[in-house]
Amino acid sequence: MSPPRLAVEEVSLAFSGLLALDEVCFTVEPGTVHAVIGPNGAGKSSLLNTLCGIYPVTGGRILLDEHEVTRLRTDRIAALGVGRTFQNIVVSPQESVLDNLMVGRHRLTSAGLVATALWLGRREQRRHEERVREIAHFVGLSARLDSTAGLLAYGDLKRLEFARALCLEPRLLILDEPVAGLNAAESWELGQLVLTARKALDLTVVFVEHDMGVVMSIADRITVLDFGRVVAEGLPAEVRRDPIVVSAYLGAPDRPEATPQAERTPQ
Amino acid sequence: MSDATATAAVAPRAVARRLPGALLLAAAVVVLLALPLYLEAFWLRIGLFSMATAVGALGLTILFGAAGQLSLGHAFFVAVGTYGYAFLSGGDTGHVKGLGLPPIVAAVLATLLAGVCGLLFSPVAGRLRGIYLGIASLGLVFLGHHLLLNLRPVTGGYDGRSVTPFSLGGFLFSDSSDLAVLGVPFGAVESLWYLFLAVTAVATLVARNVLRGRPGRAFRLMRDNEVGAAAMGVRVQRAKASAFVLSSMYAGVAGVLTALAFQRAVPDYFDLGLSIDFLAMIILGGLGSTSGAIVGATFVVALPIVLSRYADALPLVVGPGQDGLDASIAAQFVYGALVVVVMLTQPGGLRAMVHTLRQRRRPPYARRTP
Amino acid sequence: MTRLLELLVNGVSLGLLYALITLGFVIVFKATRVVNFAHASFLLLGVYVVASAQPSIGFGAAALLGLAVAGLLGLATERLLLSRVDRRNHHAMAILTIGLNVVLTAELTRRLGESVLPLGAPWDGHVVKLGPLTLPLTVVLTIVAVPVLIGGLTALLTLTGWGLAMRASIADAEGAALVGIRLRRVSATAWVLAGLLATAAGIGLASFPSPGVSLSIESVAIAAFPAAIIGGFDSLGGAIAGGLIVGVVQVLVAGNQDSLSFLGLGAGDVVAYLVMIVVLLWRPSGLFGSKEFSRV
Ligand SMILES: Nc1ncnc2c1ncn2[C@@H]1O[C@H](COP(=O)(O)OP(=O)(O)OP(=O)(O)O)[C@@H](O)[C@H]1O
Ligand SMILES: [Mg+2]
Repeated sequence: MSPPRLAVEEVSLAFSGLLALDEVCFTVEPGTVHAVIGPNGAGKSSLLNTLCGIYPVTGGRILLDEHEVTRLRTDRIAALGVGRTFQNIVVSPQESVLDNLMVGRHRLTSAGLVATALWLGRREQRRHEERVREIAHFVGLSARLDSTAGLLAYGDLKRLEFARALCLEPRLLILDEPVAGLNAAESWELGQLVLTARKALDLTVVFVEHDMGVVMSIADRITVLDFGRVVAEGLPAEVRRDPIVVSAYLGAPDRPEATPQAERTPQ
Repeated sequence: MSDATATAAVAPRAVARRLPGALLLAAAVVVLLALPLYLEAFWLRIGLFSMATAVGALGLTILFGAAGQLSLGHAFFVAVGTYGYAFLSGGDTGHVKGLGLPPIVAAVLATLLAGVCGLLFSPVAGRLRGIYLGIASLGLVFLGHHLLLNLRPVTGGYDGRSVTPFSLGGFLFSDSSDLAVLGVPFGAVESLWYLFLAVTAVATLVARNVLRGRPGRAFRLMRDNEVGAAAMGVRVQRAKASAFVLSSMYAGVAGVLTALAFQRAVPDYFDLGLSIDFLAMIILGGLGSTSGAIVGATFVVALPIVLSRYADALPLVVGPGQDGLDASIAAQFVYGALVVVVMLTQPGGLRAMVHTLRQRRRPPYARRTP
Repeated sequence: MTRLLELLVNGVSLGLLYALITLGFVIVFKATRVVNFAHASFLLLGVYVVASAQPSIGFGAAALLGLAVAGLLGLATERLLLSRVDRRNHHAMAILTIGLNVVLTAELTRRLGESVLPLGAPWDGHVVKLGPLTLPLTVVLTIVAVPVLIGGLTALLTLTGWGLAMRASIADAEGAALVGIRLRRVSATAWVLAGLLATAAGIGLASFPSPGVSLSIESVAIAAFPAAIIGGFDSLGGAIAGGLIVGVVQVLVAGNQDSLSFLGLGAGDVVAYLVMIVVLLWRPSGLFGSKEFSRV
């Protein structure tokens, strides 16, 4: 199946008074890698959450190809082939890496309670486990499949989330700060993985990232958010030169590499 | 080393590691099957109560341990199983009515009935979580108790009602059968032992399948992060509701077994205390684990019975009616204190303890590198 | 009409007592995320001490003693038991309180058995006439005293440094710890408060027209849980509203038992749970609870 086109049309989102997104518009062309950047609190994560149906929009439309997904439930959107990762890593810490990845196959498998209870889910499970192992191999987690997820190193956790999103066999891949907290080498590596996956799996990718090196090297287009508004959009080279962007964001005196500590919003 | 040789080198070791487990399991099965030939009825009866309770605990460990849905209403669904069976299989005696169905049919229907009750509660169970669900389900216990006292024709009211003994294909699970095996007379307790063993085994295997399979994985991610689970395509509300229904059915089976073990159904057994005991069992044993649920249930059930049996041998403790520390109260002290001690020393429950012991005993080369 | 009014006033008084019980439970839950399964036995222990000490030292001193014992019990629970468990392991802590509850209940059962100890409060046995209404003095005192108590507690929470620390750690425990709030102190205070509030409510529950302190007080106290849920766990206001709703509904149903006989005997004791389930179907976080937005 060909990768989808994502259209965000005048999407607004308010949290009891606070306008987190203000008529945000942009389009992601099929098969491209699209970055969303902006300072802390700009509304980037909120935007991704509206795309997945986690936050209900207060206005506007979101289209995946011709489907309007604006008011769909999160699981319905996932079922359309939208896989994602989270900024503040969401895994089952007590489960093995393999089990965590297998959850990604949920929408592709069908064994319900009764079937599983009656030993009927085994075949399906084995079949999907093979594919999951391939994906784990692709991201470099093969050796960790039996480890408990909670004991993984930070970089491996990031990879685990990425791999789990791929396990969904997504058409649209959404990544919230995929390389935050990784060192330069790991970041570059994961950036390349995104590009490889896009090509091999025919994906459209939307990602949020503070690491400008990665953004500039893998994004086809960039949307810049500030205070919930789109302040600039264009090719990486254009955005880099845009004076508004430079003053609002890039020019901010020496914004440090995003570290996980600094990134975490208080829960 | 190539992949193939690596697998070859690992395989025998894996077998060697599994072998003692398999042998242990086989030995346990043999022992469990032979027990009625050697043990007196007192111990067998403890076994029956333990197994009945263990099935209920398995249900709760799926619901709370895996899906993270706190339920204090488990006693209600156990009551539905018990009274469902008693009513469906019982005959009319005085004011108390019954449908007189064959016991096996009554048992299956009682289980389904508990499931249906769980389903009826699912608009609540599917939307709530945490303490809200805990206390909402606690309401079921009180409402249920009220119904048990007031629906006299079905429940017999305060005094309860008697329970029809189980029978299957003409074989009656009661003292009136005059079967004897190796000179041991096979009364109610001995024959029920095998019935309960079979039911508990099936219930355990089903729970393992569910926990290790697709639903179990979805439940656990939902427990750890609802939004994350939804983003993986899990229908959260439905998953919560189905975990609740499944656990109600487990409670229903536990109720049927309880009815058979007690041979009587009385309302006061199904109080909030029972729900809380279930919770204590699964956490003592180790949340989300089938073996933990069984061990926890056996422990909580057996402790007071054993203590009162040996009341005379214990210092301070006396039998009922005598002056001094009543055995049932002493059992409560020990139970409460043990719960506290286990949680202080082993917050992951007994399973975590066994796990650490095993890790320690395993030779270093077999330990997984972190 | 007069009777209905009397019932209503009685219901409000009972509801305020529920609100007190609920408050202690909610404060502990919010400050430490622990479901205190021993809350009802804190209450029973507190009033038991009052009732058993009052013949020798008088009611006033006995009441203080009871409050002190329950407060200390709360403190000891936090210091000796809960502080030894990983603060994030809420399950283990909740089960600890189950264990504690089992022990406390066993001890109280051993001491009380079937007996009923008179509370010996000076207001016991007195009734007041307010116009056409005849009300037990307890009811009137409750209606005056509990709002004062709750007002004081609110002032404590909003005006003092301790209150600020408390609210900060309720909103965000980790953040509060980062800015130097000592979580242990906050949670210890919450546990002491729980003991005090429970005993205060217990004194009300065991006063005339109730015959005195007996084991059944504990099951009366449990009806405070649906009250907490009906109001929603988030606000003091919710606890009060929930308590009032439960109290009034309970008293009205019990008072009209004859015309409501189709509900069965003792319907007054369970109607609170019915109301709770209906409310939850309508609003899953209770009447005043805020809907949670989980952040990811
Ligand atoms: N669930 C929520 N409830 C209330 N306000 C929220 C919620 N989620 C986000 N916000 C608010 O919306 C605004 C945008 O937050 P968002 O997390 O989208 O920022 P972000 O661009 O992802 O920032 P960062 O770079 O730090 O991740 C912030 O002011 C934040 O406080
Ligand atoms: Mg963000």
